[in-house]
Amino acid sequence: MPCEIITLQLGQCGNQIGFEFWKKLCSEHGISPEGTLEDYATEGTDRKDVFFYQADDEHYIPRSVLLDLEPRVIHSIMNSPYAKLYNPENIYISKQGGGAGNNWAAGYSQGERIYDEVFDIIDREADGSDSLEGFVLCHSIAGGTGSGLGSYILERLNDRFPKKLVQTYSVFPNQDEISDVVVQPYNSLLTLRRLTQSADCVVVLDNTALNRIATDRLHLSNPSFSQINSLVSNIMSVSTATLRYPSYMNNDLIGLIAPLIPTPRLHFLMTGYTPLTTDQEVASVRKTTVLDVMRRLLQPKNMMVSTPLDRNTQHCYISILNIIQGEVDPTQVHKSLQRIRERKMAQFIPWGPASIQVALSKKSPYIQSAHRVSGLMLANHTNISALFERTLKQYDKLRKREAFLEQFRKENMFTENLDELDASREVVQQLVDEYVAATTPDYLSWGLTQASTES
Amino acid sequence: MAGQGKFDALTKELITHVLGFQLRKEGQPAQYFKEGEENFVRSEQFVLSNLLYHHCLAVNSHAVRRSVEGLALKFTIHGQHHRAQQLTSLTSNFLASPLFQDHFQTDVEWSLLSLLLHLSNSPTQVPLQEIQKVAASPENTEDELQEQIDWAVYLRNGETKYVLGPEEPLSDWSVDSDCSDNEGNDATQLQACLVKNLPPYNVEIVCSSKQPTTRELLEQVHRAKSWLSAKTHLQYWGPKRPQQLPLSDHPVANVLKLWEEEQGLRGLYQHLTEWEVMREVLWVLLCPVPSHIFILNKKGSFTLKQNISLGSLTPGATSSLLEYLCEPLNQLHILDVFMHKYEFPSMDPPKPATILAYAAGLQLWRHRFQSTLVTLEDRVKKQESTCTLLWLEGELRPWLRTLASIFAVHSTATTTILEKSPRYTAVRLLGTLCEGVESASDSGIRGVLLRLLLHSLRHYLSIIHSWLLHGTLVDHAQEFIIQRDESVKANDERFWGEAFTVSLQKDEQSSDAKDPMKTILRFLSPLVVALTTVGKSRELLAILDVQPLPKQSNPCNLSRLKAETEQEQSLEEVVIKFVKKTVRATSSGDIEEEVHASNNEEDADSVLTEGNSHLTLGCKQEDPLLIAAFTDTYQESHHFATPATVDSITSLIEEISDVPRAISVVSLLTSALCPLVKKQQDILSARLISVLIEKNRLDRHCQAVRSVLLMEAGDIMHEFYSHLFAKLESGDGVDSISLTLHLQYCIARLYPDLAQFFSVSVTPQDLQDTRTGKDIIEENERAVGSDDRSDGMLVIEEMTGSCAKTVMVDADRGCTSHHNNETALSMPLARVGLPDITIQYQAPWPANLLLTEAIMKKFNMLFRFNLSLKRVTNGLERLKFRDLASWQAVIRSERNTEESGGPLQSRLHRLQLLRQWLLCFSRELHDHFANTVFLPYHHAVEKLFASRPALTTIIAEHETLVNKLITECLMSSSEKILPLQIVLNKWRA
Repeated sequence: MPCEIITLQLGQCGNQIGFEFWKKLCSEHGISPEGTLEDYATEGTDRKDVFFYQADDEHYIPRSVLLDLEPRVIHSIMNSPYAKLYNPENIYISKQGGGAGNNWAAGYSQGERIYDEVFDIIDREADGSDSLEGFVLCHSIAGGTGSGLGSYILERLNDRFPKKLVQTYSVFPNQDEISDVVVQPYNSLLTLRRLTQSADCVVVLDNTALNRIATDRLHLSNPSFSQINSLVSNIMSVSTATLRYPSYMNNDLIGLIAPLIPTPRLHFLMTGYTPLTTDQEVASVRKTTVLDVMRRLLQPKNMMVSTPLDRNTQHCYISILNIIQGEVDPTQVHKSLQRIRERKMAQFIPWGPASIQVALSKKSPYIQSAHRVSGLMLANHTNISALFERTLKQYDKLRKREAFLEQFRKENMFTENLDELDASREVVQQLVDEYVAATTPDYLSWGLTQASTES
Repeated sequence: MAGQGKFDALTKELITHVLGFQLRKEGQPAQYFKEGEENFVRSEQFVLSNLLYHHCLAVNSHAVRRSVEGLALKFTIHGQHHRAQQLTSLTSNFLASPLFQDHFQTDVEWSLLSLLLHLSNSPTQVPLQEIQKVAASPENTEDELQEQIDWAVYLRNGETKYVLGPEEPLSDWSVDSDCSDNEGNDATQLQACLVKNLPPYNVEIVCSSKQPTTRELLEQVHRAKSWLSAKTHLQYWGPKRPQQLPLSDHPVANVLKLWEEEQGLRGLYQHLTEWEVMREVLWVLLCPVPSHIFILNKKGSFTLKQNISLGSLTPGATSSLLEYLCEPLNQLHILDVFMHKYEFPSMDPPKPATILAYAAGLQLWRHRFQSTLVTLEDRVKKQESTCTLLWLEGELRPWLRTLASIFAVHSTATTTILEKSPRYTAVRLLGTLCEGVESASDSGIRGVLLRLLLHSLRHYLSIIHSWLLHGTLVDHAQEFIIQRDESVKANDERFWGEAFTVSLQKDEQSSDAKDPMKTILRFLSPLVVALTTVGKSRELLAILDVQPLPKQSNPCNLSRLKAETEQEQSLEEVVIKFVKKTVRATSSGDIEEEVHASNNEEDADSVLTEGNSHLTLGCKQEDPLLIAAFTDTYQESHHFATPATVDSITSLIEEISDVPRAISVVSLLTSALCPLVKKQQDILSARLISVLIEKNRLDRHCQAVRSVLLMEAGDIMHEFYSHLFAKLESGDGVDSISLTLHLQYCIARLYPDLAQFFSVSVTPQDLQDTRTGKDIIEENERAVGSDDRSDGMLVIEEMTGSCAKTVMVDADRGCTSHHNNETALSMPLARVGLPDITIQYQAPWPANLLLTEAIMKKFNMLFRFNLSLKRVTNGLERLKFRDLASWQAVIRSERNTEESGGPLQSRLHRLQLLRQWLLCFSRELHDHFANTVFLPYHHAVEKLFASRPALTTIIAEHETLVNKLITECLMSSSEKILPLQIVLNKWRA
């Protein structure tokens, strides 16, 4: 089967959002928690084989690898009704079971140790697919396992499957609850380096923004992880919808992300979704036009990245991909795009085409939705660098005081020096610089003044 | 007139019999009679004049009775009461004789009476004593009518005394004449009769058989002669010039005579009475053959005979009074010949039934005309009122005008009847009739023509009827406007488009400015489509082995069937009724309707059982095939069948009266036929399409083709083209077989059952090269004439295709991003590395009706277009400079190029950005086509199938949609400029 995608769920966060993602996929494809096809779903034209494979006994099994260094989350998954969904051989829990202790270095170094076992699983999974298109990584960048193990696996994936795409859904830490993990700037910085260098595409899921949206837009006074995660799973499922519901275009992952990413490093995408409702909110079915949806997607309040709302900055869109689901008149798409461009609703880079792609996708026929049309925006916006800058700032603050570094020094990587941190900072700084450079017309000649780090 | 010969013979026989003459044979005495002798001729003339002019043969019993009664009254007035009494009693006795009772149908008694009356000359003046002689005799006379008497012997006995030459026959005549009235009497009774009936001088002759003096004899002869001549009506057309008419002395009555004298032309002109002329006029109109007054000239057309004139008019005036009749006579003659020719169907060559029906319609009109003429003749004959030629002309004028109109139409309609095909003839006929009705101004004429039209249309209607009902286009004479092209089989993809053709000779259409064909098309054209659809639907359904109409459950089945048959059967009738109703709302239809309803049920039943019952009368007329099969035996029964069965409709048609000018016949017929045909069409179309969609999955085939050729099934096609591109990039050749296998493998996932129908063919590379080489030249030439609209498609191919190529080339070389736009523009698609791939879809019947080769060709155009789009975007998306084989070489040569183009990193960066530009552009194009072209098409087609219109609509709509696709993909040569094209041209500039 073409374009199979293997999902890797790493760490607590990764496994949780992964779990939600699979739940969502199952319901969209009419697959029961046991992995069997529901009676009503036998006639579907959807493609389940991108994310699932079929076992001999007609069970649909996710192409998913669950990795964690501590068993808590995976155990809870295995105690859920979806326990039988997963291939038990794809679940790896570190035998130590101690986790990474929110330490990137611990996660990374443990990754080295469990490399063989993990890549046995991944290799087997890759061998089991006809034409593997790539990997999707779910993790957070602030914790230990998701960031450390994730970074390690990213690097190894790049070595091992150099031609496969690696897309990550990376959860950025909630700045409002920074006290949770004080070393998160270190973790984030180190992970960001790997995300910059080894991933092909990073979908940024900013916990800060997600929480704000949950409280402000969805009016949840104290949003739970599962509520946030359902938002995330929604984004994940929609962003893969075109792969799963084939149509004329956007049938492969590369096709989806390639136009979004102008140069290899500017591959951090922010997301926006509309309409934002919770399950409880049963709104009457609203008629929404494509233009409405696209306009709303451009509004900052629907963006799921906590970037400062500074209108004076030069930040601009590099490219946009709108995935629109529902009953849409395709001819309206063109008109809507024209209007958006004419009215300059979105500021675009000065050096390139104002690339707004629109992918129309079907909705799952098995899920009732209150909205006829919904849209997900995947945007490459230079403003994303604000997140990285924030990380850099926080890192600098911690680094100035040499705070919490002893935990890192325990690991081999950092025993001799902290060059890794410096190098990471360098990479992230360059990334920020490149994003800033991309806001100016000079970006075309940007390489002339920039020292080469890529070769 | 047909019985003329027999009549003559009988007359002669009568004369010889009555006179006792026998044809003289060898060695027989002179008194034996010889035909052609003057006396015989005279007697013949006498007999004929009596028979022909006094109508003893076609007797009116009332008139005779009245005359007898009048005679009796006359006797009474004259004081001859006894005679009167006797006459009455004799007559009644005579009439009461059992012989006549036995043969009441012949009216012999009245004939005899009338003859007697006629022969009696001034009965009141016959001396009384002689009457007494008669006294008892007449009764016996009649009583022994049958008795055989040897008249010849008897008469010869009586005649021996006179051997006197010319007078002899005269007396014989008188004897003869009284003999003729008293056929079968014996001598005494004859005597009595003579006394009663013969004029006195004749009696004298008979009675005074003493010694007449010469003078007396001469006088007798003269008297006899003058009596005879007075009594003999000579046909004025006979070889003998009849005696001058006893004209009145009034100069007005003798104008001709006066004129002749004046001109010195006495004797040149034959004098005719107005009465004679009138009657002859009526006769020739009844049967247009050359007659005395109206003769045929050399050209075969009617003209007035010279030297004939009315006594009261000058010859000029006469001819001017009669000339107007010549033309109608010609016309009538032609029409009659035509009608005679097309009275019966024939097999070789088959006569178009339409023409036959038309002829029958004409015949009906002719009958009407003739009956009018007969009425007129009766009136003239009776002389009860004053009838003049002018009056006659007035009576005839409307008829003649109608005749002229009919003839005008007829001649237009049938000029080509022989050379052209029956179809053309029929269509032309109907068209001309239509035209005729439309253009006629007089409502009466319109009515006549409409009736003719309806008659002629009947065959068409019956064809339509059987076609609608039974799905068979029975048209053995090849006259129906729609023709089944037998070369197109039902499972041919051209079936829908070409199975039925509306055949019209194109050249004919152009030549006539006012083309009758167009007229018929005007009301048939809305039907033609519907009809062919019905026909095709029927045929398809039959082949699909599906009941044309879904059967209902039993209880309602019967009533339904009945309702249907009523509806079905009455196509002709319904149409005609409708026309009739519209023309004039008549209430008389009710009774007939019932009659028809019962007829129809019978008909319908027999039709429905489709067995031997075909032979029932009702169907015979309707079924040309049977006519063909039973031609020999049929023709006789036809005559009986016709009045009994067909007349229901014929009479319906004939009941239609005048058509006001305001009613357009074309629209009338259209509105009469359309609902019926449309209804049937709707039913069948709905049925067909539901069968096609439900059982044959027409939509699924269509979907499969779309999925593959328009790449709607993005995933499987992605797999296919990825494979293809990978092969191309690796430098492996592509061949049809492996591609076909791969394609089928891909498709099998989505359409396991349809995958086998797909195949790929690749045009060999060398062929392609030569072709494209030529193309390049052409393109360059076209590019010179810059804004040439027709190469819109090339613009895209060039731009997108070459962009990919350029980038590839650039990337391979690792050189900087500046690519040469000039060379790119002239780079055709095939050169960019795409083989000329065609995907065939062997659509199984009946899906091939929709997915014809032509359509598939267009789909393939679109496919290649798509493929090139995909090629570009696919290549650009996947482009990773670091993965390229030349990457290492570039890295190594970094030092050499450093000076010229800046640091490698920067060059790479710019390359990346270029890629981004190109990708963005190609994606934009790709998305544009996807969103504004292919997806709307998808929706449109889905909607089309969901709404389940008629197959025709689907085919037509589908083609329109595909054409629209091509246009919107900038591949058509239409003049419309799409916005995209403007943009692209700007880019090019």
